[in-house]
Amino acid sequence: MGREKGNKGFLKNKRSKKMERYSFKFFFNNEQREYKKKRYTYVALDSCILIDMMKVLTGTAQFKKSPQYYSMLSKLMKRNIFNKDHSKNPRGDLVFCVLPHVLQEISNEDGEIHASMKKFIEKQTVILDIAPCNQKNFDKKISRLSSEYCNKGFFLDEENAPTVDSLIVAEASFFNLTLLSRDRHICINFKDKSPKEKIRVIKEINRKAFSNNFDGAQAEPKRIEHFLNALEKGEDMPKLRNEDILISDLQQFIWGIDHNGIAKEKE
Amino acid sequence: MNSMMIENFNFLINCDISNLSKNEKLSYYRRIKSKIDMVMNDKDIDLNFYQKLLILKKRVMSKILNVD
Repeated sequence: MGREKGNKGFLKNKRSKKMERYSFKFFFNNEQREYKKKRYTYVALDSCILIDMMKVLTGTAQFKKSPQYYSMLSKLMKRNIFNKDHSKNPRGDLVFCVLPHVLQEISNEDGEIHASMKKFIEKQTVILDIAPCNQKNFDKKISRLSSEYCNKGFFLDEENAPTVDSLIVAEASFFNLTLLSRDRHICINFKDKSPKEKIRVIKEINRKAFSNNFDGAQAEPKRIEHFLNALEKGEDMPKLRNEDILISDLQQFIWGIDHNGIAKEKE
Repeated sequence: MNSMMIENFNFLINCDISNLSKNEKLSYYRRIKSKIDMVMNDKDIDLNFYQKLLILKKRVMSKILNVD
């Protein structure tokens, strides 16, 4: 006991504290801290969540009706790495991504984003544009995956026909992105009889489809509260995969975010 | 006015068009989709109304997906 006390006394010694800053341990810890700062979490957003975010930005969100939901949403938005003017938010650690089918929903026939959403989407999110040479292959994989979900009885409408939601979940799975949604179809819901089973089956289908054992965290659709809880607990978040099928400018842009922590202006 | 429009779109989406050919079905749903797009493209649109239209558009897109 006495010896331990003595050791503690030695560690508190002023001189040793001074010397500590030159030690490898001190340097390494700081390096790790720096590395942690640069790790961003990529998440995909459902169209409903995008509109709710717009409501928060324009001040039309009905905070009184669902205060908890909107406060969580604004908490989430504060962690976005992009500010309103597309500059970098130093406190941000989340990159909001827009999947191809979500983009289709919020765009008109000519592929232009609807006027009310345009500024927000262009400045504060990353649109996952697929390179034209990979488009056909990507579509094939996504439709195969979505039909597998539907065969298991997920993401069907009242007439038991597949919905667009299955394609959106498939796209998020392809990029290994957590899909944030408040849609009953998409994410775990308490009303669902066996929500965990549903997610387990979806993950199993994804593992088979991508023939990947997902040594890191495997993505799954989540509600905002579950996602924020996981972030606060410091759980391992899924990392963006298959980004090599995106257009080259976007790949460079993502590389810039990950390595420099600086978001260069999109051309 | 807005709720009337939603009702009308709902009616059009739920119409039974099983007697039409595949191409006719496709063009029917595409026309509804482009009309929804036209309304959605208004700059000063109320976001709650926009959200309702988006749900309808999602349904139309699913219908297009399932036309065989």
